[in-house]
Amino acid sequence: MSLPDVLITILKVLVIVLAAPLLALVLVYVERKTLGRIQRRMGPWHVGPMGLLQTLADAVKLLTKEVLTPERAEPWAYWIAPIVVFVPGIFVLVVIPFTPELVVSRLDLSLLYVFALPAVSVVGFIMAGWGSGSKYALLGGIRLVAQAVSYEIPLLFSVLGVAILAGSLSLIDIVNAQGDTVWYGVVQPVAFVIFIMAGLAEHSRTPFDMAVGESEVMGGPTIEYSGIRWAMFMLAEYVNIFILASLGTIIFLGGWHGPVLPGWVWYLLKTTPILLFVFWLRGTLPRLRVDQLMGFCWKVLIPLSLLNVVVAATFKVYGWGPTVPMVIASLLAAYWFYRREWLRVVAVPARDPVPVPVPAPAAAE
Amino acid sequence: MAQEVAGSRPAPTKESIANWARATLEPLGGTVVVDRQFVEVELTAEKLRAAAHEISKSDDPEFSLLYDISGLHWPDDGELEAVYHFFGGWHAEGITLRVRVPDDRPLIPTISEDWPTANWHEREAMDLFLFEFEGHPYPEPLLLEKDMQGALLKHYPQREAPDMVERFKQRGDVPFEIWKAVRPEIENG
Amino acid sequence: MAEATSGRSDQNAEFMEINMGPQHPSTHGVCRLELAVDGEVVLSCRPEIGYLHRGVEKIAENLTVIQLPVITDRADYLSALNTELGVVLAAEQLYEVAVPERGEYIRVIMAELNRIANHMMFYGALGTDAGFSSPFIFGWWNREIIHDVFEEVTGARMLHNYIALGGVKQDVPPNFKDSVKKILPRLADGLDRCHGLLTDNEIFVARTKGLNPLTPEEALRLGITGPSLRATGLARDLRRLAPYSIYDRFEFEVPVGTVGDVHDRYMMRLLEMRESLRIIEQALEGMPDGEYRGEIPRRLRYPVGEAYSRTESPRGELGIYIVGNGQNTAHRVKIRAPAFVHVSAMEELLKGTYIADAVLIFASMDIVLGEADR
Repeated sequence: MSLPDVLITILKVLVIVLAAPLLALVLVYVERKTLGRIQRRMGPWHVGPMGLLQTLADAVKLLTKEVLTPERAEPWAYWIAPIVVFVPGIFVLVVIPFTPELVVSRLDLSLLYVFALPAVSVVGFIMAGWGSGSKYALLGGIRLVAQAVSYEIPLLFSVLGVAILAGSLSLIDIVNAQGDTVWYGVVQPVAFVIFIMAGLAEHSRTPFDMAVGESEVMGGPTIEYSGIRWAMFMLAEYVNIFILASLGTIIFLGGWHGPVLPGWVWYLLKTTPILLFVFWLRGTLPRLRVDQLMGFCWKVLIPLSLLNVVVAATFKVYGWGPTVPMVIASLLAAYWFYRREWLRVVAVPARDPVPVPVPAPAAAE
Repeated sequence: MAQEVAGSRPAPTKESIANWARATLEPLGGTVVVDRQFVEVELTAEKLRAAAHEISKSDDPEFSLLYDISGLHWPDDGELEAVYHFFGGWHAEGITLRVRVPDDRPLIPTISEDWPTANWHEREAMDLFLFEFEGHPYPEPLLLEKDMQGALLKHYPQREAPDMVERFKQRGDVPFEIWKAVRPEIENG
Repeated sequence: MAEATSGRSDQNAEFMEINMGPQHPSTHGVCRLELAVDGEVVLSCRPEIGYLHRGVEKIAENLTVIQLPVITDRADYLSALNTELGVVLAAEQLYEVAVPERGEYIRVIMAELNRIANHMMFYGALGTDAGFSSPFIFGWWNREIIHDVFEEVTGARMLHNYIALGGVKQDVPPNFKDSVKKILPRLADGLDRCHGLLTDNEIFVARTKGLNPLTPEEALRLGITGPSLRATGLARDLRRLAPYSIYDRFEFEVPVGTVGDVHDRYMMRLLEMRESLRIIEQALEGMPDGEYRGEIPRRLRYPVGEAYSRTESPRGELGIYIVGNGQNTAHRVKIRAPAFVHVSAMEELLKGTYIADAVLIFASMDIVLGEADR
């Protein structure tokens, strides 16, 4: 590559690095407004017109907060953990194709790349949990790592079916394959659902946010962080949610394909419902308990996603489909998923009520 | 949800409880008094445990709830009184036990073996009145700091009662007395 | 915050000691639960209170009977009117004061409104502990409606000092009946929304059904009363069993559960709210005109004697024991707080549960530390 190309690439990466936190700020605002509306209240509205400057004010506050280091913290681990958690998000944003032109790097293995890198941020959470020197942070870190590692499996298998059908691991090829035929979300609806759920669990979003649940472990591995370091964790979370929605759009909803409107408009139109769905879940669902969470992953999502891969591969090998047989197979799998008792509800036999003597009505006075 | 069902077991009345008390608790040494709000039995400290046991295992009239254990301080008599209120789970009547002990050595046996809820009620009474419940499984302070116990006694704070200071010192504690050393103007009013 | 140690119990299982509290992120108050935890499972629990002890009973020994409701309000601050009612009933027993009809009706309406407000708070706290922020807002919407009525009538949103010896302190404003009639359908609608949000929510049901079931005998042995006891199947409600004030004139049902688990305890309170709405409707219709406060003696010395009043507070059975000895101030005022007994029951209830479940069980008993500590 010649020098101008290198410089242009560096410029593009810089744009992404600067845009990512801004994106996260916008998402925080949207989430708080959405949650407010679900809960019949206003959400932020005081700071700036319609509260638009609220997250900016919060960011400024976080930047000016005192940065504490706990006494029993492990210095290196404690210091580096926010960076290790935040940076992989930027790495992933670099390869996501918003349109065929708006992409910084065209990798042939971009699908593999976007799922390999977030695993690094899991290591960052271990460093945060253990390096904080607090038993609650350790507990939260352990839970989060177990959860993230477990849910990687259905996450990968759900997109593996799509990769098989598309015949390529490049995100751009996957989107182009959908442009010819039908969206993979229609062909593999179960995989789409599994992808969203596993993605939520990867990033510890409600209802899978046991590791960062405020009632028990009080914020999980990040409780000992303050100021700019905690801001990095929060920004990382929202960047990751955006990446989840983007990948959902690219892999299952056809990316930038659509009539009339330009590609990036379609891209936004498809990503926004997924984002709003994630925020909606936060406003309407309680939290799953740890054993229920893990049971759901290992007993339901993993078998289902494996089945999905097998079915997709079978269809690809025999040259069937893709549409009608895959839809039928997916609907059957969805039916199995729906009927299976996946939340362990303990059956306790009901008892008859115990009679209590009621006093005779008071005599008329 | 099932709705309440009209009673099939006749509820005991105050008279029937008084009869039962006379039959069961008077032989243990209690005195039954009927002209108060509930049937009351006045006991000495030694008989308390047996009486509480009788009440707990009685089936008709049935008493399942120990409501509370109140302490009362009668400084003119120099006595502390512990009032135990028992009520039935299946009916609305109750029975009360009263025990009087001298207020410088208030020893009462614990009833927390028959009545698990007595555990905390006795700890509270220990905090507020400096009762000593013999055999209590965990006689640690519940509501107050160790040097502020005895708060509801009529001559609290202890610095005005030299015998109280003595009692605390015997326990190995320094009573609220310590404030006198720190803030002498409190002593002088 | 987490001053935790590790150790080995004598069964050779490794355990870790965790403190939950004294400050809880969930809004129960300052109670410390010392848990010995093996992984996720709680091996033993030792609750500790006293962080909110303000000497209410000692202060009450310096107050006249007119000033008494002020301090007892502060004990159970979420159901202040019910505590006031209990205190005033005991005082009226002692003083032998009669309460006029209008006063009784006003008391009942206020007490039942307070019950609804309290259960809405419970609903919010339980949802928050399940990891769900919306129930809190839903519950508080309804509380705000009730608080507006309270402010109109008593002058304060909480800690009212309204129910007084002989009746109520002052008459209700002229538009009282209309205001309350207006909020009843709003509360009913709010209650339906609350049901819709949490009751059939699959995840909430999975978290709470089958969790910590109790039999009536176990519950009584632990001293549990109130809605948590009714959830186990025993239809014990003091408003029915030993009616006080004018509760025997109203038609209302006492909801009873079947299993006594956390879901049942939650349902009890929601169903009770509906019954409270019924009682308020009937009381509004039957409320006569007339005096709101009866004749109280001019010199308010406590008669020599004792009185024990038992009322069905939203939390459980509240007992107020007043001992008078002829002075201006009481000789002893003892508040038998249901929350006190329920916190002591935590020791047994939390054994063998997961930490996440322990939080839910604690929330399901609807504990207010102000009452437990006094």
